[in-house]
Amino acid sequence: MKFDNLPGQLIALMLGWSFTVYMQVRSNSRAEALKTREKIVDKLEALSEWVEDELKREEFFYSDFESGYAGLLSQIELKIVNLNAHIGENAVDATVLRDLREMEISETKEDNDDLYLKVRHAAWNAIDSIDMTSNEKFFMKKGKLAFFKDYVHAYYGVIVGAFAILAVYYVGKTIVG
Amino acid sequence: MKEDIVTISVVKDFGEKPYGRYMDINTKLSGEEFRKVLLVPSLKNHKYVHVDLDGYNRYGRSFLDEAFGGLIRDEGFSWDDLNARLTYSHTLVKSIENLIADRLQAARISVESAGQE
Repeated sequence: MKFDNLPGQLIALMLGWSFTVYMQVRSNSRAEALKTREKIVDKLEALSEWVEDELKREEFFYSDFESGYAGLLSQIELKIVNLNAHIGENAVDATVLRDLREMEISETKEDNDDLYLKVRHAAWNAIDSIDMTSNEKFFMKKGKLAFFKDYVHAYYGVIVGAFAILAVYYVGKTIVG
Repeated sequence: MKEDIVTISVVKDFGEKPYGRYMDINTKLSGEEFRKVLLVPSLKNHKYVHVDLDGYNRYGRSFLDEAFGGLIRDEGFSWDDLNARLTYSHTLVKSIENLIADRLQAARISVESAGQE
């Protein structure tokens, strides 16, 4: 075994290791993001069912209904915040929930007959927006250069550190002779 | 008018679970009450007012519309004045901030179209 190029070998090893870690972290983050996205879609789909069920009850308390609805939307939005944290950028904007937040709820039960339909349509629109954004992020082919740029961005410190050590070593070796 | 800023925390200064539009026997922490008791006096006595909405995630549309939109519709504040002096924030649920902005804009449009008629 030759140790003449030991620093070079160590740095190659370090870069290889960092790349493996990058791939693993990326894969875990992607799996978590997809799981979170599914939860968001499930909750959005369940929203209109919740509205329909609540309006079927004999007693209708407007304020409880409205704050319950707002609470469900907030839960969905917090999941969107989690999704963005996994993706690593503000990919899905909270404005996808704008129509649902703006939904006008009448104070009397009878005037809310078609509310669940309106909620369902607004929820589908929100799901479409989330799907389009996350599909673009996860399933569109990015190309090798973009992939490499992501890796460099994530492990910038490791790469710079490795090359700095290498540079110091060879400069030192040249000076000492 | 003092040259200062006051921060109103809805949860700490008003109530933990605000809901509903108008003040009545069944609605203790309504948007109308919040507006009349806290928002309007603060806007009259201070140059800048910030409303901190943290601590509660279930603000209903009617509460926010009456509290904020009512400033333009019922209290005579202009949208420009509020835009310059009133700020609001919810750290976790940003769509609540968007909803307030939308309600202020809707109140502005309703007052302007009523004025034209």
